[in-house]
Amino acid sequence: MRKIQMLLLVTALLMLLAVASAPALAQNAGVVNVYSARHYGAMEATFAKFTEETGIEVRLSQGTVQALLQRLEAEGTQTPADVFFSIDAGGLDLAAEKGLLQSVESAVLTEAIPEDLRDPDGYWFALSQRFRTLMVSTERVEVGAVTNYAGLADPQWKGRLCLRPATHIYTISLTASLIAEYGETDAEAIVAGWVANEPEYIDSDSRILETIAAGGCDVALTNSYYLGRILSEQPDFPVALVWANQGEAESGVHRNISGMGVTAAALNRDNAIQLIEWMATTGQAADETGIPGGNFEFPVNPTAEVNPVIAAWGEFTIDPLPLTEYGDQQEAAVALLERVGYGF
Amino acid sequence: MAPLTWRGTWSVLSRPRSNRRYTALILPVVIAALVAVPLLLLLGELLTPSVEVWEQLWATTLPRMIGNTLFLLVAVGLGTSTIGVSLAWLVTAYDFPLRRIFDRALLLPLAVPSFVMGFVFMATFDYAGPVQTAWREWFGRGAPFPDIRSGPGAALVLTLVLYPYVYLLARAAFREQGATTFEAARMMGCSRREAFFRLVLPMARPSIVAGATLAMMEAMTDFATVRFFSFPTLSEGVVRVWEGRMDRAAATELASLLLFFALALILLERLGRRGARYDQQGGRGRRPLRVTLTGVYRWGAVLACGIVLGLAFVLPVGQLIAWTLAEIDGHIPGTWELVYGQYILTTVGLAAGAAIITVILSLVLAQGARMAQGRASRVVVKLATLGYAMPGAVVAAGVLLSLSAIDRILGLGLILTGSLVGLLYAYVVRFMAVSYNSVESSLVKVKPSMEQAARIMGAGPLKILRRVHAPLVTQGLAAGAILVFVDVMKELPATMLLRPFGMDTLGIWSYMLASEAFYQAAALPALTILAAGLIPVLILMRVGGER
Amino acid sequence: MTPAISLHHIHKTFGSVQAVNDVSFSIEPGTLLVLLGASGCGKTTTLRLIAGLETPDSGEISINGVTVSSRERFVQPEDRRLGMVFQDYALFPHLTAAANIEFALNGAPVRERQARSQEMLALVGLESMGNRYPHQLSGGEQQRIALARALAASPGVVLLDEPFSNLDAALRKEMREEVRRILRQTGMTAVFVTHDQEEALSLGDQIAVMRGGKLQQIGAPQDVYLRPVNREVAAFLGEANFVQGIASGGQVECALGRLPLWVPRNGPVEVLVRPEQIKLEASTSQPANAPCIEHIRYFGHDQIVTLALPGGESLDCRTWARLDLKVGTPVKLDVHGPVIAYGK
Repeated sequence: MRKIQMLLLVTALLMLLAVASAPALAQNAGVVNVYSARHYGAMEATFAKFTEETGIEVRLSQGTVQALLQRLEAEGTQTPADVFFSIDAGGLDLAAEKGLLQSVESAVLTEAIPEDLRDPDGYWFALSQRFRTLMVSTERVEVGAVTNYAGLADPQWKGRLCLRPATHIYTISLTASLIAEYGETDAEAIVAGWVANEPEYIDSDSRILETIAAGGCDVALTNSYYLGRILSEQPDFPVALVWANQGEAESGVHRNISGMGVTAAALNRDNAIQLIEWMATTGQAADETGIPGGNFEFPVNPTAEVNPVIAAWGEFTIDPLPLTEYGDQQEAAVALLERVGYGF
Repeated sequence: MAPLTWRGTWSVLSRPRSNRRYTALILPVVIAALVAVPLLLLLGELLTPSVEVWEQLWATTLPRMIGNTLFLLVAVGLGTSTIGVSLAWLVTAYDFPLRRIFDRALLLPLAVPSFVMGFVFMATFDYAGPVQTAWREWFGRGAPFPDIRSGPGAALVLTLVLYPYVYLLARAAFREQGATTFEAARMMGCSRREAFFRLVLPMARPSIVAGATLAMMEAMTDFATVRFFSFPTLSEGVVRVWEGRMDRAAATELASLLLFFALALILLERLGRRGARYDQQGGRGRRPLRVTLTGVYRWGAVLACGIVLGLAFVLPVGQLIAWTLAEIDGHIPGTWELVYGQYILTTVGLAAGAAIITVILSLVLAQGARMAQGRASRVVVKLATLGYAMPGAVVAAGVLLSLSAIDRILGLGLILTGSLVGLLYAYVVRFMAVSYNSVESSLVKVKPSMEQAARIMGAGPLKILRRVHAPLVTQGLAAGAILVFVDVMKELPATMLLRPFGMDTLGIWSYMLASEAFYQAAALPALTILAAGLIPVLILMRVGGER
Repeated sequence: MTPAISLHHIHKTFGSVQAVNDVSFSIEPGTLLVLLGASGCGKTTTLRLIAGLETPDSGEISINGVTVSSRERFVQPEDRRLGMVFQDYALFPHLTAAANIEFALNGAPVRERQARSQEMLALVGLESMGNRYPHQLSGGEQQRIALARALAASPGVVLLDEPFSNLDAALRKEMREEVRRILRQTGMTAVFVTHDQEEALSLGDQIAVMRGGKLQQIGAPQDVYLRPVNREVAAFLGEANFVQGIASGGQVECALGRLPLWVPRNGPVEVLVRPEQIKLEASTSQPANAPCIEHIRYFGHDQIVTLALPGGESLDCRTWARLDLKVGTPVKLDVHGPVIAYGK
């Protein structure tokens, strides 16, 4: 009895180990493994085109920025990931700081990507730009009623404001940029003003825009591309984008990027670099085969075309704050949000 | 698996030497330890709190999470009991049009994962959704509508998918009571109404309590639905702190608090079932006489069943199908089929692996406990099947604690932590009870006298195995495997926290998309899970329905 | 005197089955009536009609002079003031024995209820068992509690539906005596349903024999046993020999000789002879055409001796377990008392 039970147990354990060790086979000539925080849906066509052109297969593992970072850290040198694809500059910066990324020298990349959109030491490279800015109802908000982030603290927006919960990286990054710009005290006053307006917290930018259209709120903060996506299908959508902080003395709209870095332990380093180079050039297309185009974002490569839907929003000033600043202020931002009682 | 049962046969035939009983328990004890160690480590965590972490949690979000968790538990407990008991009594004691169909169909919501119900509900009933839009068109822009993105909203959604637990058990209890109890009460001067409240309900109490606690346990493990409804609970907190702040220490502390809640719930269930033994003795036979409803009541009953079934099943299924069709229509061909295929492969592989391991372990456990008998083996079984009451986040935190301890002892770095082993381990802990129950009940069917009879008729051990055990046991093993398989497909929190990267399940995929409000894209994986979930529900409907 | 129960032309069908077909009878207060018949004969349905758990298709039922079931009027079971003991006892498993009894005393003050339930427990000899739950009681004890519960509210009539069918033979005998004692002691009118003729004969003051939904005969036990109205009743109530004969007035001529009749008849008949009515004498000096012992079934306390009669008929006789009778022995027989005969 016992012997046979033992035998079964051992067999079961062996099976378990066999299954468990399967994904460890990470090194492969024609493959690049990507830990991607970018969301599902928008980039399959881009990767498919890359594979078609280079013969390199892209293997994606998806998760939030925080989870992927933690993962990379935990796996250390064992990580199967060759590329870390973040939707947030802070995340890339933090990864570089923790030694999870390696420096890459590539003429292609230095030429394709402006200096302020890549790490000075080549640890990471932005591939698309997005802007977290004001969204207003075209039906119920007059032009010029709100022009900057601080303006959302005005009591006229009480009960009329929609925001993304504090848990989301977009909220944290924006708050971090406010701290960097105004200092912690003033930033706290601004965010507390938002909270005082009793905003509706909705954990989805696109749902926020739909809620404005339906009349559930009048002003909100979302990323630019969510509106681009909707406008491409419904040109009459009753929500308008307002570029924030465009005044004379103001710094410009909050920018964030999505970008890639080669992991420190990359087994397929050459493929990883090839992927990033491709993304910074061919992959900058304004249609669905491009990283910015497929998602209605702005390209990083100055030579790339901008998708006409979003080009219609006109010229605007971008906050010149170095992207690396965000990472430094993230912890302060989380603490600030908790202090003022910003919703989940 | 086969030789094991065969050995079991002969050990029953030969009178066991006394120490044999204890050796039979060795493997069950190992299995129980596998399950209990993570939970005990977590309990240890609760006993040695890190003051700093707690101070910070307490100063910020903890009071709200505790309050919300309590609210959710009470609301779901009351909600599922009310709906489940009313519907069960309605279909048992009364006759009305479509009763036979409702009798079974009211179990269908069991197949709908709660987070799927959550996002379908949110998309349908929130401000931008079709219902409120239509509402405003009829009654004007200022027309009041309850705020769906709230605690009551989340409780409603969870109640709608979890009431079948109470319905199922209450209906069985009402049926088992049979006619005579009810008649006896009436002979003693009770009206139908009094008889229901004084007798039928108190007698069914243990079943109702069991159903409601199951529902509450499910509500406690949920993090996705409450997140859609912006209603942070402890489970949600564990996932949020773990993923969002990368703060495993704080997440573990929170999980230990959640464990405390789970234990309290188990205690509550025990208390609720204490006292008399409630199973009816004898007393089967005639089914209770149904009263045929007339007039308003007749259509009221149809309406009540229809509304619940419509909201809890027809709405989500219909909406998911509509979204899926729209999504397939607008998609670039060739890309998503590939992605979908990969998710299916991963999910099926994971679920099948977990199901096989869990069933094998439950077979070892059940056979060992059967041979050993006695109080010790009952305790061992209790321990080994404790995980059913534990929220996924608790199991994940516990598994992580024990695996990192092993990793530390082995000194080989983080081999086990965060590998597939961790996830499968968590599934085994969480779903052992599910498979154990069906394996054990099939094993009970093989009475020693059957083996003896077969032997006397000249059957050798292999023939007995083939002709007696296999037919009797395989059904139970299959049932256990199916249940675990489906539960793994639906599982979210433990998968969320422990999945190795590149091992996203359909559930995670669907949840991620839904949390970004890509409802159309989230529909297909959700529908797939729902379809798989229908398998055990349909079996249940066949078995539990009336002939 | 007002009858305790009276049934007047009661009919009840279930689907196409005529469960109760034109049953009428009435019984005096204080009577223990046993409804006897094979399963499916309609006896339980009759009981349930009296209880009000079924509604008759036609006919009238009155209890203690009050019409409870008629075309115009139907009194709900809870308003009929009846006690009932169910086949499965229907004790409420979540209540103690005492609480089960008190359940029947709804409305009375607590103190009074407790006193009454103690009294009832004493009546059934279970004073010390009041705090036990049903599952902690033996079958016989559960039975007594069920009876106590049925009697507690001093109902007008007690109904008992095959209450002993779940007990083993020895216990059944004991309980039979006990129930008889208790019912006598309380002077209660009772209707008792059983399919066991021995139980019926030993327990009942009156026995109503039913068959195929019809009431065949109602009368004292001696009456129905010795003077059954037809062959079927005769056969159902005990072992019976039917011997061909020719009746003329008060006498019948048959293979057993000339016998006196209870009821005068004429023409060819079948004569009912109970096995214990026949006295046997072994005899070696007999004519060759004397009855011969064909077969002996030995029971210890007595035995059944099967005789082959000269005319080719066979006859069962009950004798004490004497040893002088052997297979093949010719015997002399003598029939006690008058017999009854049925026309062919």
